[in-house]
Amino acid sequence: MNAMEGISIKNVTKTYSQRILFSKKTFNAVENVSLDITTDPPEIFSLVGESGSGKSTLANMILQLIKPDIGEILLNGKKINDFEMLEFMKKIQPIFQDPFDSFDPMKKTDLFIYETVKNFNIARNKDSINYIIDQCLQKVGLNYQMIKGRYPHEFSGGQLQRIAIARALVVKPLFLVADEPVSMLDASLRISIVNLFKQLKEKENLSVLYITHDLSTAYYISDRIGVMLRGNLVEIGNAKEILGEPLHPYTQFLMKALLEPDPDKTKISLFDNEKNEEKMTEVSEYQLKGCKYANRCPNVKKICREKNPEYYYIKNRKIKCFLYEEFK
Amino acid sequence: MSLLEIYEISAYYVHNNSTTKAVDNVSFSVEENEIFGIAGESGCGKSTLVKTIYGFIEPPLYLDKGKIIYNFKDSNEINSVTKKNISSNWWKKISYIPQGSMNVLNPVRRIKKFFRNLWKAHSMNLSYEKYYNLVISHLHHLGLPADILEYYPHQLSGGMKQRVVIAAASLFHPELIVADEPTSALDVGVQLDVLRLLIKIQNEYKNTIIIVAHDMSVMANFCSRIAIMYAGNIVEVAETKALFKNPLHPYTKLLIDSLPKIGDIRELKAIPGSPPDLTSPPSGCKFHPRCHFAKNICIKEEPNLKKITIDHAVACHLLER
Repeated sequence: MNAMEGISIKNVTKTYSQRILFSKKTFNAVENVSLDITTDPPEIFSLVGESGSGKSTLANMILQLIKPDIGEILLNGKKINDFEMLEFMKKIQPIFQDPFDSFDPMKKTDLFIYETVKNFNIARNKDSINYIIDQCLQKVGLNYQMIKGRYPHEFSGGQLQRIAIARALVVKPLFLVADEPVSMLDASLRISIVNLFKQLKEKENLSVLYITHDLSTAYYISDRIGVMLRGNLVEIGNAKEILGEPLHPYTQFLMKALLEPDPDKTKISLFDNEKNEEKMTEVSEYQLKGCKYANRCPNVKKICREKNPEYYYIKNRKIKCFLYEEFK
Repeated sequence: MSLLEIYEISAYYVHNNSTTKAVDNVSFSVEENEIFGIAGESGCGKSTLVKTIYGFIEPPLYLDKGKIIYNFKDSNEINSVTKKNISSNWWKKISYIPQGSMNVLNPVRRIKKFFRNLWKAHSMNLSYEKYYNLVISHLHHLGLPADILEYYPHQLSGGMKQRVVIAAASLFHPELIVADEPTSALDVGVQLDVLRLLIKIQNEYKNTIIIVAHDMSVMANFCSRIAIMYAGNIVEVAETKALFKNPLHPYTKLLIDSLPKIGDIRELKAIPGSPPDLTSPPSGCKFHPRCHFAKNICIKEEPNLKKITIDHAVACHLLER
């Protein structure tokens, strides 16, 4: 086994069960996913897909918040549950969706960073702690004076998200797991946070796993992208290539449904006769035996309903779809 | 004659000692049979503006000044809709799809009950049977299965709940539908379907829709005219194409430039600074602290919304001659 620098996810499966009265349904929220994200050189990897496609479950497994049922996750060649928790958290840090939820509303904001410094034993005396806090805040475009003694409600969502990122930087991590970090923010603030990730990658050598359903920001920042569909990674490869020319029918659907800020490319015409196809409930789609997209796919074949496809390689991307069988 | 004429309305929130000037001196008009979009950052007052239009003014919100004229079809001098009697015209002439409206359904009541309450409140002149048939044919017409009436809200997906609320809002064919962020919590594919449904309704019943969203791509795809709001003021009103091709206000320019697009690998810049606190907004033009082109006059005087061409109005000192 080569000791790759970074995260390496090997055949990970997580099964959840849903009980309705006396019946029990089990489904794989993440199904046999393998993925490598390097930290040397750093990269930004985006995980995109509809809500309920298992993106956050995968992220939580990387953060050790939940345990995979099958498979393992390695960090720099070592299993993540073999790490000491503190040591592990020094390497991987999370950023969550709602910045207002990640802060205690009753506590001053600077205390939040202060406690992180203390908990990780990074510095002991007050001056050096303050210096570290100021350093981290400057990396995200703020400074200590701006946040000192203020409570979370005094900041805007964008500022708070920056402070949350500054907190994550305190321990000098290798890797950030950002779960929908911009979906609560306004379009005009989104780009500033997204630019910040780009900057951190270039200046601090930080790899980012960027989880989002917003394809246009994913296109803008990521080096590679993975499209998730009901627990399966169906298309992985270079972001510009995949979103420029999507090959998997599901990626094509996502691109088709994407609204662009350009009135010339309008997708909602008045004479649109396209039928509103009723989506199956999430769980029943998870339980399909074959390809999870079989019921919605325009190019569905008989084999799609019987067998879950393997990966086929086209140039430097991996696709899980029987349409590309000849490229095996 | 425009369907809706708004003259210099100011709507403020009162707190302990301060007032938040959420909508400040806003005038515009909405024509019949158009889709009018109101866009802006969160906290710029767009929701307050549509609440005022809908006549849903409850403390701490109050209308400081200004007036709104509704020119509905059958309104005359005796029978006109004013601020006082607007609540009796809700759902029939003007309906409102509130923000996060998929959460307005009562979780322990079937959808049927929701429609029944609607009947009790607004349509008692019809017998319940007739009304029920009306609901079913309306749902069918919008492409929704009639058996959703028997469901509880948790059995429906977010997009379905949103569609139920839209179906209810369009049930009595109101002339004006006000939708506040109807798609912001939905998935990409569902978002498109919901917008299509709204377009279909608009196309068939020829009613006017005012839509509020912060997502400029929804605006670009959906609206015929767009107003850009900043810190309680409307800074630019234009036809969609003109606004995206030729934005005139510095804020609109920065806003449109900061949108990532597929196939565009330019380095994008965020708008510098942050939106002002509306309890003590800056003097003059409220955008001047963030504007590259700010001059002395921008700090002193507040610009008025002026027409540059027939369909394009801007509030900026730079464009005044």
